Amino acid sequence: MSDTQATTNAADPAGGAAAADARPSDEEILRYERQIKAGEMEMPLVGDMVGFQRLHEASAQPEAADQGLAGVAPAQPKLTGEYENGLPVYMDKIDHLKKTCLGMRSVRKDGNCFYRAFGFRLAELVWENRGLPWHRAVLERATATKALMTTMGYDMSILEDFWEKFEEVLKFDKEDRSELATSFRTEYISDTVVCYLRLITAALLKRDRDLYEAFVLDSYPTLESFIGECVEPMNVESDQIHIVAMSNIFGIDIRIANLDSTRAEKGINFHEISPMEPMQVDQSPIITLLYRPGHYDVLYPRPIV
Amino acid sequence: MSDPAARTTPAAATAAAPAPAPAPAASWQQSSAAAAGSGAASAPQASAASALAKNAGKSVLKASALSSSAKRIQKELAEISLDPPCNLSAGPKGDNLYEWVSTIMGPAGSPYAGGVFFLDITFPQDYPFKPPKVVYRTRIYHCNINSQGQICLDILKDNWSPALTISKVLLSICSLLTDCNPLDPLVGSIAQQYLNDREEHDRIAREWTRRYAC
Repeated sequence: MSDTQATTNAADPAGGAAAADARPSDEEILRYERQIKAGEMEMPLVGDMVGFQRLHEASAQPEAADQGLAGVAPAQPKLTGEYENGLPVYMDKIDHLKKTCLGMRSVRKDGNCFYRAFGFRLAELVWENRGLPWHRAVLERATATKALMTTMGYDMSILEDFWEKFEEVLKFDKEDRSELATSFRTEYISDTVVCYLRLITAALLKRDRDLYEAFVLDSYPTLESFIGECVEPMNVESDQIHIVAMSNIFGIDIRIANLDSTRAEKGINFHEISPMEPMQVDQSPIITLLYRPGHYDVLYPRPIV
Repeated sequence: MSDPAARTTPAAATAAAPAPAPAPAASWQQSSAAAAGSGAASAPQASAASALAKNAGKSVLKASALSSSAKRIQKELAEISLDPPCNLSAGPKGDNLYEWVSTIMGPAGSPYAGGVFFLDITFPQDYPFKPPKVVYRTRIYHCNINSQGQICLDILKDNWSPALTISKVLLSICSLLTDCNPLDPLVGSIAQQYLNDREEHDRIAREWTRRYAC
């Protein structure tokens, strides 16, 4: 029996080679994937905030903008450029974003984008609100995650560094806000923060198992296997459940503008995620993100007057 | 069924292994004991960090990641030395904190019982963001471990998380000896045999354990 199998296996690659004329070979596909990933790795972990007006102009010469990326400059997201030949629904949504938002900040597409975008914007909001009650409330919630981690069996003596880096960005107090972006562009700090957010997500899912388990059990045998495959490892994309967990941990509303091909009633449709235990303080800010299938960036809505 | 590899004499198998033969147990235990002592622990860190920092070039960022990886490995070493998991031990080979050796006792009730298996552990510079590399240095008949000693284990690849420690990895490797994973094999023929002729599989595994790991 094992002989028959060996023959079948040996014949397979040959069959594959014959069919390769019609479509790219596995090797070519892998090479293309590596090429795209390598290109993405040259993007900063967190870009500068750019206005949509500028995006629009940049899209006039996408190739020139591309060349500018290679070395120094932070990525210039070409949102309109990307969708130039797309469906009108995209153009409508982008127009709406231009009207209602000050701009966006792109985050590297490495599978950590939700956590990086969320972490950055949270730290930025904490900085913007320094001295206000919300600032204190967030820091309290953040500090409470250490106890959550310990209770759920994480060894904080090993993970101390992760908490410390997260605390550091939350307590950022320099006058120049651009230095916060600099921190988030520093791979070690940025990844450490992303990792800490992943781990507290995992700890929350374990603690409030009854609440979350039902959402994963149709695809994963246990909540633990979901956490082991989709939460704790780096570079694994986030889903609704991760976002809900972040909202619940920090008691913050998360609004996600959905830039996909679904038709929106009014401008662009938002997913709104509200925490189960919101902060009991006035003027709690909201984190707004831009979602394009498979990717999150930070969005800066215009203040409502 | 006669397996060509099973006929190889222990001496030939050791010579064919890509890496040099494992250090004698006595000398390793010595270095492990030294590393476990509090005084000896900081010197290896410094020398390993400075050696690697040279390779990392002038990048300050890399150097900071490096010192944090050294700090983390140091903590894990302290932990595994103070509270070693049963049936296994691990510690630096010499004065390089990033190169460890580990021994695993074959779990009772498995065909590997009675064997002592040596493994090499290499921590990457960006540990714990990248997983440690762990390879068997002792030959073993197992469907998830190939003749080069490479191990097929999810947490050493895609499912690695910085929350894991070398101690947890070694425990997973241990439990792979009790429960192998024939549905995701590295050596297909051994997995087939495990599923179709468990008795013969276990007989060969015991034979290899006696031959290479005792």
